[in-house]
Formats: sequence, structure tokens, C-alpha cells
Amino acid sequence: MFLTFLLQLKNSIMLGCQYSLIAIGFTLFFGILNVVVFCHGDFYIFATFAGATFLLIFLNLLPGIVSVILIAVALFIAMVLTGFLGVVVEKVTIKPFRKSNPIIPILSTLSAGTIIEQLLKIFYPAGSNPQIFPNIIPAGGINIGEFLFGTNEIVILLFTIVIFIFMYFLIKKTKIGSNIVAISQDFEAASMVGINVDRYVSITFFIGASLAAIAGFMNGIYYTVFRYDMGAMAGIKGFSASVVGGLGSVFGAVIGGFLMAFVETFAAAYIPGGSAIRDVFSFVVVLLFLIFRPSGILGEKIIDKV
Amino acid sequence: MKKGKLLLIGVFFELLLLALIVIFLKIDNFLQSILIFAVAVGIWFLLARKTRMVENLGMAMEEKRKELLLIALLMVIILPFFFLNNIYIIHILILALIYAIAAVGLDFQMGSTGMVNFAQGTMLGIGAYTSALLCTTFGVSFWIGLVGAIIVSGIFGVILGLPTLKTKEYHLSLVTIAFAYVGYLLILNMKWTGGPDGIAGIPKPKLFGFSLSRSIDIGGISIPGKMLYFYLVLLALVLLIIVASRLKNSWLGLTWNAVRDDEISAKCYGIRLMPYKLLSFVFGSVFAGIAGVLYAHLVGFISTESMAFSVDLLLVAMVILGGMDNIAGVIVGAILLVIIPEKFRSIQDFRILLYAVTLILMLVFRPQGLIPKKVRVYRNISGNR
Repeated sequence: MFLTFLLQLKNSIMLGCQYSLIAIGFTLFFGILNVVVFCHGDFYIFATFAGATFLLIFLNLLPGIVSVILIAVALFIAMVLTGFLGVVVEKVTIKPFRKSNPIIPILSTLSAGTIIEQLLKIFYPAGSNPQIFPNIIPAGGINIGEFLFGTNEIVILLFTIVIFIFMYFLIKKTKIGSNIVAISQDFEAASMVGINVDRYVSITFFIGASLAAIAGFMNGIYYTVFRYDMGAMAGIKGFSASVVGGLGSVFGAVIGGFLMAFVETFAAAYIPGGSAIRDVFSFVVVLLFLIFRPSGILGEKIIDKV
Repeated sequence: MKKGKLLLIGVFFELLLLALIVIFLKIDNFLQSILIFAVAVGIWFLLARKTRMVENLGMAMEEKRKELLLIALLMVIILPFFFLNNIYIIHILILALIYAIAAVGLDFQMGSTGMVNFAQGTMLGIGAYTSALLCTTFGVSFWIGLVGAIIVSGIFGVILGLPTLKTKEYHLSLVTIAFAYVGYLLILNMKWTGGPDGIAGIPKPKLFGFSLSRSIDIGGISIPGKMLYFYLVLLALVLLIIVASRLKNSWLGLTWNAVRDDEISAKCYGIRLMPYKLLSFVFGSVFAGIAGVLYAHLVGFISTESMAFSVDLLLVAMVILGGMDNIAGVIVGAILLVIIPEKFRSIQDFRILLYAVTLILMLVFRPQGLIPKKVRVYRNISGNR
């Protein structure tokens, strides 16, 4: 009994790592431009495809290289590609609509996401079938009693913690971070004091999309099977996590991501018949939050401005 | 300009449109259909360039509104007679009209009140399932199923509308997305809804003893049952268009527009947001419910496939393509988005991709839609301007 609990806890932490990485992207974008980028989940699945492709290429070209280096290089390439994808998507589908009705960027980013998804489906070899992520991390791990902590799980957990610390320093201690915070506090005032707003918006999109790329790569390593249409659900979960945590707050996004993962995993495990409708529970949590605390756990209270 | 000439211009354009649609649907050849499509796009661009033409057409639409609408209705009535030998095309036309009903309903939220709603396809599914369950398990007739579906979808409209009182914009879109997914997953996983197998054997409606599934002979011409169903759906669409335009031209529509343009100033003028936002959701959901019933009884089978998230997106795309807050535009958008992809079946794989590209192109180059909304004309009580 206790062992299953521990197992579920481990599963939910693994899922929470992914959700919070996606949610951080949502919260960064919302902070800087007041938009919700509905194709963020498609950045995530794009990165899974990119990572898998490059891993396969490397494995075929250079057999016998230490797997750590391979993973690092493939992850790096996936992050850079996804980051640039994020920048392009911002230029095409968000920048033209900065001053228009907020319905418009919702629709344009949704369609951008659909385009990415369909391109993956049509142009990736056998893209409409589930793909298998090259299994490169050695099996095994650390046994604590009966409880097994797999190597891939340790890698994912440590890496996520590193990324969280990195994000903290990026936002709190560097010039890039302070400029991003300045823009998110007041877009026009930031451009008045000489911050190149467009450039920092691009940088933010690069960072956010590459965080989604890390999550996508982890998805590949952990679940090993992926499909072109997994992005939409991941995106909606990540968005829900950032809303639950409080849109605009990076720390809130992390909390929200883990909360969503806990609800989903434990509802699936402990409620009879729950595994088929596990998503229903997390969406109900989101609905409750939206109704009773729309600003989220850590968000500032939303005040209507005229 | 003389009034007779205005009427002539209007009729000419309507005939042109009818001819294009008929030819487009008649053709089987892929290249030829692309050609016709290009001709239609060309005509539209020419119209957009020649401002005088547009002005005349606009004037014709305004001065001779009633006559032109009547002629348009007549044309739609004779439309299925061109396809007596091809039931499949009539089926597509019916689908176009059904989606038009749901899209007009969605426009209450998106166009009039300015609230994004990604759950309209789910509402369509709820209506369809209600009627299907009533008809298959209790054996009631189509009409009772319709009434039941209207009530149930109206109730769900309230349920969906309630969280909107606290949320707006992105949060609201998340509410509707969450609602759509919850509805989809629950119906997919419950036993009494048939689960992934759906519900089969939904009966065709009966009217004055005629079953709309069998063909009838009138003066030597055999009229297929599908065609009778077409007229049933057309009747529903016309009635609902009248309802929708009455609503939009009333104080209720004006209030919705005030809420859309500025919620805070609407509040300051003493408008209570709650009842109006709720009403917008309820009306929209009832329209979707009716569309769902018509869909279920047309196909005879319903599964969660017809309320997937892509249907929600498709309906949103119809409203954007046609023009928000304009009934004629929304209907044109719905008809285009159903008919054109059906003809391009040979590029089936690219269909959704094309939807998305079209949507982005529309948003960038023509955000007001194909047929933009006209400025509201105020009339005094006696009906004069």
C-alpha cells in the first residue's frame, strides 16, 4: 500500500516536472505580452520529434559515443530549434495583433499550433503513427528497499531542478531577467527607458519555447512513445497549471504544475474507474480555481482597469 | 440610381453565386474544382477592388433587402433539384446548413458579446446525444427528442455560462476548453452513452405521416427523402435566422454589443452583466442543441467523434471567416468551410492544415471577415430611419 503510494508520488513528480516547465513558458509569455500562446503545447511535441530525430541520426552516424554527450547535444539542438520556432511564431501570429481584441491572438496561436501539428503529421515519416523515442539511457537505477528509482527518472528530476535554479538566477540576477520583468511591469515605460522591447520579447519566446522543448524531451525519455497530437493536451495542461498557480508568476507556475500532476495521478490511482477519465479531475480543479480564485495561488488580484 | 436597376444588380450577383456553387458541386474533377474556386476568389477580389460595384451592391442589399432575401431563399430551395441524381451532395448541403445553425448560435457569444467559446461543438454533441438517447431508449418521436434537446442544451448553456461571470478573455477560453474536454471525456467513458461505440439506429423524423427516410413521388419525379430532410433543416435555419436577427436588432443585441465594446462602461450605465452573458450562452447553446438533433437524425448514428475539439475549432473558424456579429457572414463562412473541403477530398490529409492556414491569413489580412458587419442602423418606433 505504502509502496503504491510512493510509486504514484514518483509518477506525479515526473509529470509535474513536465507540466511546470510548460507552465513557466505560459507565464513568461503572459507576463511580457499579456497573451496566452495556445501553440505552446505544439512547441513541446515539436521538440520531442526534433530530439528523437537527432538522436536517431547520431546513433546511426556515430555509434559507440557516450550516451550522455549524445543526449546533451540532441537536447541542445532540440532546444535551439524550438526556441527559434517560438520566435517565428511570435513574429507571425502575435506581433501583428498586439493592439487588437484578445480573441484574435487566441485564434491565431491556436491555428499556428494546428499548423505545426499537421506539418509533423504529414511530413514526418509515418507521422500519424505513434513514434518510439530511442531508448538511450541505461536501464537500472537505485534500489531503496523494494522501491526502484530509475536512471531516467533521476536524470529528469536533477535536470528539472537545475533548470529551476537557472531560471531563478536568470530572472532575478541578470540584465536579461530584469529587462523582461521591466517589460512585463509596463510595456510602454520599458520601451521609453531604452529597452529594445521587440528583442526582449523574442528572447522571452526563445526561453519559453526552449523550456517547452526540455519538457518535450523529458516526455520522450520517460514515456518513450509519442504522437503528433499529444501537444494539444500537454499545452492545455500547462496552461491550466499556470492559471492555477497564477498567470504571471514563475514560482506559481511550478507549484501549479506539480499540483495538476498530483491531482491527475492520484485521481487515476485511487478513484475507481478514474484512470480513463483522469483528465476530468484536473479540469474540474481548474474550473474550481477559475470560479473561486481566478487569480490563482500566487497571482496578483485581477483588477479591472478602464 | 433607379430602384429597378438596384434589384437587377442584386439578382445578378445572387444568380452568379448560385451558378458558381452548382458548378463547383457538380464537378468531380479535382483540377476543375480548383479552377472554379480560383474564379470565385477572383470575382471576390474584383469586387473588393471596384468600390463602385460594392457600393451598388450594398445599396441594393439595403434598399431591396426583402426582395433579395426572398430570391436568395428561393434559390436555396431549388438548389437540391440540381443534384437529384447525387444524394451525397445533398447530404453535404444539409451538413452545411446544420453547421450554419450552430455557427449562428456561436456568434451570439463571439460576435455579439465578445466572448470566445470553444465548447459549441460540445453543445452540439450534447443536443445530439440527448435526442438520440430519448429516441432509442424511450422510443419517443423526433419532435419530443428535439424539445428535450433544447431544454437540456439550454441547461448546459447556463452551466457553461455561470463561470463566465467571473472570468474573461484567456481565463474564459480556458473555462470553455475545460468544459469541452470534460464533456467529451465523460460521454466517451460512460456506459449509458454507448461509450466509444456511440449510439446507432437513430430514427428518421416523421412529418404528417411521411417518413423523411423514404422517397416520395410527385408528378413522376421521385423526390428522395434526403431532400425532404434538406427542407426540414432549411426551415429550421430560416426560423432560427429570424430569431437571431430579431434578437440582435433588439435592445438585447444592443446590450450585448455594449458589453462587448466595454464591460466597465456598460456596468457604469447600469447594465447587469450576469443575465445578459448568461442569455448569450443559453441562446447559443440552444442553437447548437437544435443543430445537434438535426445532425443525429440525419446521420442516424452519433459518437464522440462528432463533438471532438476539432469541431469546436471548425465552428470558431466559420464565425471568423464569415464575419463576426453578422448572420449572413457567419452562414456564408459555415457553407464555405463545409462545401470546399468536401470537394478537395483528394487532399484529405491537408484539410486541417488548410483550415488553420486560412484562419491565420484571414486574421492577418481581413480580420473583419468575408462579409463584415455593417454599422447598426437605428430606427424610431414607426419604422422610419
